[in-house]
Amino acid sequence: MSVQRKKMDPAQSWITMGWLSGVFCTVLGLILCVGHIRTITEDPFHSPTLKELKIRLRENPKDEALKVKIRDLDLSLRAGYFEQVTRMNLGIWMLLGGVPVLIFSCRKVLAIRRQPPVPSGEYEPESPHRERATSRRAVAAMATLMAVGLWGITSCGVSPLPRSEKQIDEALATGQPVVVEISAADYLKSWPRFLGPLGNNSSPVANPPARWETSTGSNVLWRIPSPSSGFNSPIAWGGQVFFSGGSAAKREVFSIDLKSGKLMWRSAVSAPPMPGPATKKEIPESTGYAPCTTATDGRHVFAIFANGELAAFNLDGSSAWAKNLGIPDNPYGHASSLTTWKDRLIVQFDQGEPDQGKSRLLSIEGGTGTVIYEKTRKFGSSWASPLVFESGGKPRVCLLSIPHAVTYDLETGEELWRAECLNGEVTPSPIFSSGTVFVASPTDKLLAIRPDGTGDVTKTHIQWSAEDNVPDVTSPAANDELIFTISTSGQLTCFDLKDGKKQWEHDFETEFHASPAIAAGRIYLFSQKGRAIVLEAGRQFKEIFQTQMDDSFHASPAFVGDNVILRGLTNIWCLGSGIPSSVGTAKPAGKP
Amino acid sequence: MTTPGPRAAYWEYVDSLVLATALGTALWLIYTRRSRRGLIALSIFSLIYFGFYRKGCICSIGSVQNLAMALFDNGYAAPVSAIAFFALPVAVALFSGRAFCSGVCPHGALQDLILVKPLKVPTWLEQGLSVLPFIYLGAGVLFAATGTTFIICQYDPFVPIFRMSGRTFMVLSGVALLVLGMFVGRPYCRFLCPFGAILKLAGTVSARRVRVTPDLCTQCRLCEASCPFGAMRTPETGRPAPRDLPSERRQLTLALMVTPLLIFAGAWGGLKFSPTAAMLHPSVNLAHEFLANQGKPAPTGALSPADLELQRARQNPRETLVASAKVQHRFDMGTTLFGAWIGLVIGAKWISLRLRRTRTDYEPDRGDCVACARCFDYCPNELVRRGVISPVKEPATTTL
Repeated sequence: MSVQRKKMDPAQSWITMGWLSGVFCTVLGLILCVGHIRTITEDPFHSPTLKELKIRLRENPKDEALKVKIRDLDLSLRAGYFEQVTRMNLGIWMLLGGVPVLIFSCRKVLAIRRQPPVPSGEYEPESPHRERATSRRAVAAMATLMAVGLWGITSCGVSPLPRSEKQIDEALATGQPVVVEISAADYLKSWPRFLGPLGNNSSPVANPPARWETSTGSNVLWRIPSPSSGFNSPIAWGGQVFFSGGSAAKREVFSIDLKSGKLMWRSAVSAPPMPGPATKKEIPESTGYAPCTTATDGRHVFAIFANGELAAFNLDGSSAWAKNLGIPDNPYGHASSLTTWKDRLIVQFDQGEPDQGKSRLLSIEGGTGTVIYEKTRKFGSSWASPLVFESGGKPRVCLLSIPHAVTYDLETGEELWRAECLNGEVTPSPIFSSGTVFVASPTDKLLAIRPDGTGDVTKTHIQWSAEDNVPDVTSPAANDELIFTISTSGQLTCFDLKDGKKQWEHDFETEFHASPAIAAGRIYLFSQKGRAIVLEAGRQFKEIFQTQMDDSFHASPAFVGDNVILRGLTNIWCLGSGIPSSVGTAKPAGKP
Repeated sequence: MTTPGPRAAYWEYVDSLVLATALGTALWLIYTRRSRRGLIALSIFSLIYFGFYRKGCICSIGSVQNLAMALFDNGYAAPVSAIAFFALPVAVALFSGRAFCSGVCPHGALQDLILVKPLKVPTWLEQGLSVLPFIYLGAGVLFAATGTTFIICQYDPFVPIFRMSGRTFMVLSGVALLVLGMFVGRPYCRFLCPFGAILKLAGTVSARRVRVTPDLCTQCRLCEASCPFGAMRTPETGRPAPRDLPSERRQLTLALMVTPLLIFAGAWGGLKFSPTAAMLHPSVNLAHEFLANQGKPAPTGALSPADLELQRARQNPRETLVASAKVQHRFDMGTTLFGAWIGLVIGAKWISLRLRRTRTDYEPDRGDCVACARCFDYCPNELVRRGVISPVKEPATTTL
């Protein structure tokens, strides 16, 4: 029997290789397609189960079992997602290995079997011209196709948008009410934040009454029971007075009509759950959930609570945004008030110990809640409020925390200068007057600091310091010449703004937690036991009026127009000329 | 699509230097070594460096948009690498043809390397589709100059492959184009690439050009079907037959007269296209959303970026509408010019298809040739010149 040897096809091994790599690439490609679809459909951010659980948690925020379930699901979803991504990456690399083998094999097979070119037929020099004639028709068809396509897209029906000034005016007039531009004058005639429009506890334009009588209701425009508890001070804007209040169950912001004392709206905060694992930090009762004064940019009112919830409401009470900064690690509870600059919200969120780096300065876009910057501060807990002021035409923000007063560029959050001058538990807030920053180191020193320095200005920019009757809770108040402080024990002291020389002091022998405030050349004082005192804001001590009110004052007053707004422990008061209102829950003045 | 993170500034210069070196190498391989293998090696290097390592960014194709934006937006300065990646290949093309496309462009390299069995695209289809890169170029410049978006980058089919991630649609487009590219030579380069359009124009007037052989063309026709990219041109007679001459002259005159009309018609159509095109601009889109959502309550809770934009617009409604109006006016001008450009491209193509050329040899088209060096190996004279084969000796003749 003769064995006939089959002639080996030189391309056979490449064909086999091509088939193998082809099957490999096809199978792998299909697996990758399925995997790609899975990564899209199983994106942990869009898990319907997780979303549903989160909604349930919002309705029942204390459901610990639900929280554990959410964390477990979130972890498993993310782990699954990243495993899938890792597998996909491995698959892509394998495919990148397989495809060149497939291509190379195919090319080898074709190269082995390629026949040398054999030009066929006679060449006709006119043939390119005939081809061009067909090509012209193809170009014409292409042009027609494009014209039809563009016409189709154009006639999709895009609604015309305003182009001229007139059209813009018309569009704005027919739509939602246009937000009024905020002017400096609007700001000055309001009380938009703790410490007032100028940041020195004074109003340059208000003319509140120098006298009032609660028994007769004279110059008491209205008073209403406080809708919710809280130590925060009132702010006022555009005929509305804003407060916050809260308890463990509910945190809210409410607005009262300045003229009538009628509650315009009260809106509960619906901040998302706290970031990170649940903590069991207690909110101290002594400060409560709402010790921080609200602030407004003229379009929104902002509130922060001791549990770290931060919320913004439109002036009609609708929620603009809310977020949760987490319960601050603060032994007395977070108490720094909010402040604003233009459309930005400034939050001093100091907590913990200096070396922990937990403290932060946040600049937030008021309308959206977008964090513009968040600067970590190597400082511990503080209870003072941030001071926004302008120096050299640039916005600055001064923050106090032991042992430094630190000023930052408000636009960028970069630190500009610091002065080592603070001791104790920093509660009095800094104020700004006549181009100088004044800070009180509790029961220690009152200091005046020039704000134009850079770096450590402790030895170069502290203009003067005074050590008499320095407050430990209240913030100073100042006009263009004098600065006034009141200690918790009731020592009111007047200093010259320029050199810090004490002008006079007076002991009222009653406790004060509310800061003094100045309007129309008068200082207004409200004690914890309801004593109200009005004095001349001058170089001589001159008492104008004193009365006993049926309330206890811890919050500082606010001035707007002809009125003083007060928040007592039980009532909210509006002192000023006008007929007493009897709307809503307002009680007749003088009859608590 | 995952955008590569920012890199140290000196990398701009490194990339530019690598590009310059690669272009120099390509020129040497095309004109001095006339080496297809060398170009394959260069293509592999470019694919790895500019493609997979640099993840397709920066690339010359997208650099057109950087320059367009820098020209029309005072607040934008084109990076050094963008300028280099635009200018170097164009300068090389002006003097020596499309050396960039031969083995330096990662897009071209990828398509060149995967080409398995090239099929001939009918000439009429090739010519019809050849206007698309110019129109795509116009659209890319329009949207970049108006500060809208870099559409050439956004809809680049190969970048998701280089980055191994991207939107599903673009990944599928890239894969589909690669599969097509196994049988149709460089489909993206020929029928879409906007930078290829610029290089084509530059290559048309280049001082030096790629030839099948620097020696005598014997018109053996062996190279006739050598080019997988449809760039090989056959000999032509420049003059028509006397009986066709008046008719051809009339047709050419008509084409010359129609072109300005096409430009005007395109400009008019472009202006009509303006409101639709402007909607792609973020400012105009925001104004549209703002007006559409007037009176509706603001969303609460965790806001999406679009919600945040809308919230910002609600803070400054006039500013939003004024910004939108400014962009719309810019688009009016831009789309008018874009429409005119389309008209010009169609008209110019029409005229070029009316012209007769005199060509005696088989030679690659100056504009269409991507200098891949495939045709070199088809020419027996070239093979003899390189010593690959021996010249055929003429048999000795005997005289009786």
